[in-house]
Formats: sequence, structure tokens, C-alpha cells
Amino acid sequence: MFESKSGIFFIAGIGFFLLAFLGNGVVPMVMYKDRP
Amino acid sequence: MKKHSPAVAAADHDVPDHHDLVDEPIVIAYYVAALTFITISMLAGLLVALQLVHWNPLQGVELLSPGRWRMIHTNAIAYGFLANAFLGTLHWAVPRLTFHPVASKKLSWFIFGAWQVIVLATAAGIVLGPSLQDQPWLLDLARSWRIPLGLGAQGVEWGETPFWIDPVALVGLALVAVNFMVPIAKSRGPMYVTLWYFMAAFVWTFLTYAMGNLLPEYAVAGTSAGAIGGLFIHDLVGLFVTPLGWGLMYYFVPILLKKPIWSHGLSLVGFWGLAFFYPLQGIHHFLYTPIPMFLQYGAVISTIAVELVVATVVINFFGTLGSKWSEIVTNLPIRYFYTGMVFYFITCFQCALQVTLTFQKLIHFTDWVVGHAHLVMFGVFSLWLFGIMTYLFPRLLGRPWHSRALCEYHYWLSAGGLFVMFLDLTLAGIFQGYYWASLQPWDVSTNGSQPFWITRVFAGLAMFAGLLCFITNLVLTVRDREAAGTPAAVGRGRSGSAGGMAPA
Repeated sequence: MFESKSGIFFIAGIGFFLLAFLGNGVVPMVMYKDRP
Repeated sequence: MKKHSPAVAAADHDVPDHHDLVDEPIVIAYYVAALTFITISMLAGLLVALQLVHWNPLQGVELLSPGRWRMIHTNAIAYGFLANAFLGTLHWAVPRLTFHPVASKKLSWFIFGAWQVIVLATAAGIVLGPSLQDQPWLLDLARSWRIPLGLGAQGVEWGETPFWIDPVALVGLALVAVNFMVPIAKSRGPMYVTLWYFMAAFVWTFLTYAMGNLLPEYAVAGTSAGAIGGLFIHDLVGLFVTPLGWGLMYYFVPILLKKPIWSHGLSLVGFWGLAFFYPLQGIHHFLYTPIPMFLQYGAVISTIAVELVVATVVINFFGTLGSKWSEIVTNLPIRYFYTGMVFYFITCFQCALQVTLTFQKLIHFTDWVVGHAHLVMFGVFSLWLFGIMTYLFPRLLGRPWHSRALCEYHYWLSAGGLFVMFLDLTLAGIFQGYYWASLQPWDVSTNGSQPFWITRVFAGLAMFAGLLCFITNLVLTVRDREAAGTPAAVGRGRSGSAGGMAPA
């Protein structure tokens, strides 16, 4: 997994990026969605 | 420990001919474009530095005002120099690592042309956009088509690329990914460390660019856009420039030292540590803002964690150097690489300190941050790329460098000038922070900054002089080649002869 193409593409490339985007980007968007 | 190097990865394969793999003219074309844009970028930086010491030679010229030059400076270095130099080097490294050429050489040339158009259009947008902004025809167009009003720079740090360039740039990044992923997908056997970094970088760069340029422009505003902006600016460094840079170090260092990477285990820790912790850090750019504090704390902790990861990577490379310390003196590309690594460790150590809330109180908005940015973008990645060019140009041109002395001048003026600039701006930042904390009038802080800003001008001039040495040396080397009528000739499996600076 750690050295395979699929592991690097899906886990490191897409997975970790999405995790960070959800945690750090989407969370404030949802929390502040009612504010101008 | 299991030893890995590009040479080890190659051992079990029939190695195709170098010229069937690498399109050398496109590597040269990318490098020429990169050197052109870094010349423009450094000139722009000098103009801004002169403005700060009240000696702007273009005073009163609207189109060339310092605010616009500042954006030219940053965009030209990121998208003009770094991106072009990385793309050129990828055309060398990826086919040689995978034993497969890029998906399409025609596509490579198309991407090359398209990328230059994107960079030039960005420059045009930055320079001309603000002057065209309030034209009636533009206001009508924006109103009727419901498109963002700004023709010029977007209000996103590092994402100043005008909104009308963004879709084209995204298509370009997708094509880059396809062009290099095809040979990686075709390769058989275990993937070498370099390819882990490259694969991830192609995915991350596309996603980062899309997130940072599209969301704040069309979907979110206020604090949420700030959080996205923080992720974007940090991911551009951490998920675009950093993996490509380290990937190339894992490729070139073992070749030049003729020995494998010291620890495969540490390579794994370095890659997966970066992949997990780096995307979580962006919000540390906006501490003390309305972004929820638990996210700010999370970003701070992730940043400190990545410093530990960076330490494992640097230890791995110094373990690889081992007892070959003399290579740093005699082998100029290796000296560039290891200088950059030391600077990288310093910049990450700085990061671990400056992201704390206590430290931010003092240094936020000061020149400390400018010094930090120069240390990472020039001191690390530009020095690495200069080292790679110093190694590759003789192989691409089939001639040794015209002058070893000019290569040495380039190194010392670049590394020395940058180090002076870094120390100078770091100190300036501390002074400015204390001026502001003491609530003295603004003028006091700008007057107090003058000695530091004057020093910065001279440090910048030294760095620019280094670049001119490099370009002059390159022109003279090309002339040598033309005079000798030598065709470019590069075989496979080259190692660093003559201090890594001759083609043989």
C-alpha cells in the first residue's frame, strides 16, 4: 500500500487532500454558512 | 536497511536509449523560459526593493507601479521560473526513471506553449487589468454575463492569476498530469521514491489550484474564503513545489554521489508524513482570525509535526552523503543540493516556531515573513533547480561549462546574497514587530526599517549578479558548442564527472 501506485494516488494524493479540505475548508464553510 | 536508488531500480531492466526516452530540446526550451522569467521576477523584486528605499526609477508610471510589480515578482517566480524549471526537469527524470517516454511529445510541446501563454496572460492581467477595471464596456459585460468583475489580479494571495486564465490553467495542469502519469503507469516493478512524490504532486497541484482559485472566486466569502486561501497558499508550497523538489533530490543525489539513498524506511516516513501533515497546515496563515480556534490549533500542531518529518528526510540525505563530505566542495550541483537542504531545515524549524500564537503576535505582517518566503522559494527550491541546471546543461549541450569560475560566482552570489537577505529581513521583522507592539506612529517603524531595506537592496543585487553570471556562462557555453560544431550527445547512466559539470 505504502509504495503502490494505487496507494499513493488514492490515499496520499486524493484521500489526505480531501480529508484536510473537509476538516479545514468545509468545516468553517458549514459553521459560517448563515453569516454574510 | 534496504538500499534504494534510481540505479538500483534500473538494474533489472533493459535500458532503452536515452534519446528515445528524453526529448532534450523541450528540456532546454523549459530552462530558457525559466531563466527568462526569473530574470523578470528578480528585476521586479529589485524595483520593489528600490521603492521601499524611496528610489523608485519608475515613479509615476501607472502600469509599472510597485503594487503591480510585486505581483509580477511573486507570480513570475512561482509559475514562470519554478513551474517551467520543474516541467523541464520532469521531462528528463520521469522517462529515465520509468523507461518510458512521456505520453505524447506533441502534447509536451503544446503544454509548453500553453504554459507560456498562461504566464504571460497572467502578467498582462496584473499589469493592465487594474487600469481597464472601470471601463463601461467591461462593467456591462460583467453585469450581463454575471462573471467576476476583475479583469486583473484576483484577490487571492498567490492566486492573482486573473479569473479568465484559471480554467485554461486547470486544463493545462490536467494535461501535465496525464502526460507524465502514462509513463509512470506503464512502469513495472516497485516504484522508486521519486515517483511517489511526482505522482502525488500531479494530483495535489490540480486539486490545490482548483480549490484555491475557484472556491473564493465563485462559492465562498469572508472567513470561509480566508480558510480556503490559507490552505491554497500553503498547499502551493507544500503540495506542488515541495514534492517535486524532494522527488528530484531523491533522483539526482544518488546519481551524483554514486550511492543509494541511506534509508528506505526514512524515505517512507518522509513521504507519508508530508502527505498527511502538510495539507492540514494552511490555516496557520490566519491565526487570531474568526476561523474556529480548534482549527487554528490543529494547523499549529500539524506544522510542528511536519518539522519532525522534515528532520527525518534531512537526516536521510546526510546519511546518504556519509563520509563523502568533500563532494560538497568539489561537486557544485551537490553543493547546491545540500545548501538547499540546510536552508530547508532552517525554514521548517522557523515555521515550527513562527506558527505558535505567541510568536505570531510579534512577527505577523512584518518582514520576517518576507525573509521566510525568500528562504524557502529561493534558498531551497531555486538553489536546487540551479544545481540541477548546472548538472544538466553540459549534458544537454554536449559541452562542459565555459567557465567553472562563473559557476562558482553564481553559487556564492546566490547563496550568500540570499543568506544575507534572510538574516536582514528576519531581523527587520523583529524590529518592526516591537515598533508596532509599542504603539509608536507608523512612520517610526518605516524609518527604523530603512537600514534593513537598504541592506536588502544590496543582497538582491548580489543575487541578481549571480543570475547574470549563470546566464553569461550559458551563452558562452552555447557559443563554444557552436564554434566546435558539437551535437548534443548524452548517453545513459551518467554520473558526476568533473564535479558534475561536464557532459562525460
